[in-house]
Parts: sequence; C-alpha cells; structure tokens
Amino acid sequence: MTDDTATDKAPEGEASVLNRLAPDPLLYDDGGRDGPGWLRALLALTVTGGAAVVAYLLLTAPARAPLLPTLVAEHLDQSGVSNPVTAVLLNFRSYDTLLEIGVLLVAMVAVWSMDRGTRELAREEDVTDPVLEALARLVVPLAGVTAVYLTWAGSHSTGGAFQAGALLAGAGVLLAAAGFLRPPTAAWGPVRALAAMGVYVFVGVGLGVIPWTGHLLAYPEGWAYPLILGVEAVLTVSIAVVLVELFVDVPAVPDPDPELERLDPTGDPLGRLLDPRGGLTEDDEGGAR
Amino acid sequence: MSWAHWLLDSAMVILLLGLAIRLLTTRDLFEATVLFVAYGLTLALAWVRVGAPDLALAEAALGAGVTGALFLNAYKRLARRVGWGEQDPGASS
Repeated sequence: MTDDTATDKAPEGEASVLNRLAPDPLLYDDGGRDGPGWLRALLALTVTGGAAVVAYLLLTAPARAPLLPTLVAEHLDQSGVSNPVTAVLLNFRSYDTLLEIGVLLVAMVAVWSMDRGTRELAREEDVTDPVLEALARLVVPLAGVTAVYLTWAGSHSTGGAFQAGALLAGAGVLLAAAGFLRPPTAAWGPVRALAAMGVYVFVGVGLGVIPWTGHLLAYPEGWAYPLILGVEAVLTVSIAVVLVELFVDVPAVPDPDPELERLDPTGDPLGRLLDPRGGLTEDDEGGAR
Repeated sequence: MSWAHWLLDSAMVILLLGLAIRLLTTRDLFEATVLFVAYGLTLALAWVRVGAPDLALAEAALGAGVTGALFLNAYKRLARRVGWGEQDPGASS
C-alpha cells in the first residue's frame, strides 16, 4: 500500500509514469536492493581484512608508557583549569578547537546553500503531540540549566563547551520536534549572529592576545581561566545554534509534480529541463539568502 | 578486574556488535534508525567504562540526540517523498 498524496490529482488509468512517485533512491535500476555480488564480496573482504590487520597490530604492539598524559599532567597548573580534557581542548590545542568550530559553521552554511528556494513548511498531517509538548516543557528548562552548569564545570570536572552545546542542541531538537521551533530560521539575523559568534570570539581572543604574548591563542599569565571560560560560554551557544540549525533548516526538495512528470519523464524533481529558472517561483524572488 | 566488570564489559561488547550487525542488515530503515540511537547510548556507556566521561556526554547528546533526530527526520521526508507505505518502509514500493 503506497502513499499517493503526490498523485491524487491524477485520474485513474493514466500511463504508469504518472502513478510512479519519485524513484526510490535505495533501489538499483533493476529494482534490486543489494548491488552486484562481486562488489559486496570485495567490500566484505576489504573490511574484514582491514579489521584483522588492525587487531593484529593492536595485539602485538610493544607495551610503552604513554607520553601525553604525563606531559599534560606536568603543565596542567599552567593551563588555568584543572580538567586535563579542557586544558588540552581550550589551551594546549586550542587552535584545533578553533578549526573545529569553523568546520561546524561551514557545514551549516553548506547545508543552507543546498536550499532550492522552497521550504517544507508544517504540513497538516504533522499533528502536534501533547505528550511531546509536555516532555519539551519539562526537559528543556532542565537542559538549559544543566548546560550552563556543564560549561562552568568543564574547568574542573567532566563537562565543557562541546558537551553543554550538544545538550542544548538536543533540547533544541526536542523543541523543534514538539513544534515550538518553526522553520525557516536561516534568514533570521540573530540565528546567524549566534552561530558565527563562536568563531568570531575565538579568533578575536586568539588575535587579541598577540600584543601581550606574541603568539596566536597564547593566553597571558593569569588570564587563562577567565579567557577559557568566556570562550567556552560563547562556544556552547554557538555549537547549540549550529546543530539545531542543521536539524531544523533542512533544504526542501519539492514533491514530484505529475504534470512535470508527464512532460518530462526523466524524473528531475525541479523540472529544470523545462523551466529555465530552475523551479523558482515568484515568491522566492525577494527572499534574502 | 572483578567478575562484575568482566560481565558488564562483555555484555556491552556483545550488545554493541549485535546492534551494529542488526542495524546494518535490516531492511526496515526506521528500525535501523532506532537501533542507531540505542547503539549511540550503549557506546556512551562504553566511553564511561574506558574512562572518558567527556566523550560519553558528547556521544549521548550528539549520537543519540542530534544524529538520531536527523536520521528520523530524513527517514520521514524520504518516506513521504518516495511513497513508502507504513507496512513496507525501505523496501521497493
């Protein structure tokens, strides 16, 4: 039994191309699911062989005292925090963290850039669930408080910006699922500002310490802890906003149009071979993107 | 290591492997998504066992929370677009 919301306009008995919805992307052209047998055998052999090699290397590696934990422990008191994970992430290897935040931002922009100009707005069949709403009302304030605590606790115990940001992102996803967050949000200024703020503040701090210490991201004496805490606070919000944006602001591909299918059975959902403007409507002209 | 640790660790290893195999071979994509979330949570426990609580927090929130939600979202949109029926999701329509 297939869901034929896209073909309910088509009269019965039309050519089979009209009754075909979008081609199932999980099937090969011949309708099979698994692909050629020789390819599957080759993949199985490669993966198993690779796993066997890794296992052998791990089992026969000579026992050696790990060097890094000793190094970190020696310099921990200079880092400004007492949690070695945070010390490594935000002080010893802060440049890597900076690049990671940059990667998050770029990923979000990449997802935005796939937008074809249409939005999958809330449909009628997306009924709001009272249980989900109640859960969101209970969990989200708790998650907010816990995220603030985790950001602060990262300096001396388990926690940190990524953990708190991920928790906030989970709360944001719950909000979106319960219907409190409505797309589209990408064009909204505060969203963009909050998402970019993490990178800007981190780079700003990194460049701003140069007049004092002469190196990028080298915190001055005694300033390590407040700088780390400040950067972590901003990073938490930024990470949460980026992750929620990745979930909420999904670029939409329009539903298959039976009329377009009749004229152009190649299956291009945007009818780009027919419409030179690539499926954009007048509504999308003024959209700031 | 005490026998309780051995029991817990072996149970987690079996659970991880079983979940991974099942979610990779199942035909039902919804089941695969749900198993992926369960896998993420079990992996978070495993991170705690190897002494990486920060990783465990991140894994629980991201692997189970955000990525799981993303997969469910993708499944819902894909199912609506391709027209999978309720009884036969992920298989040929």
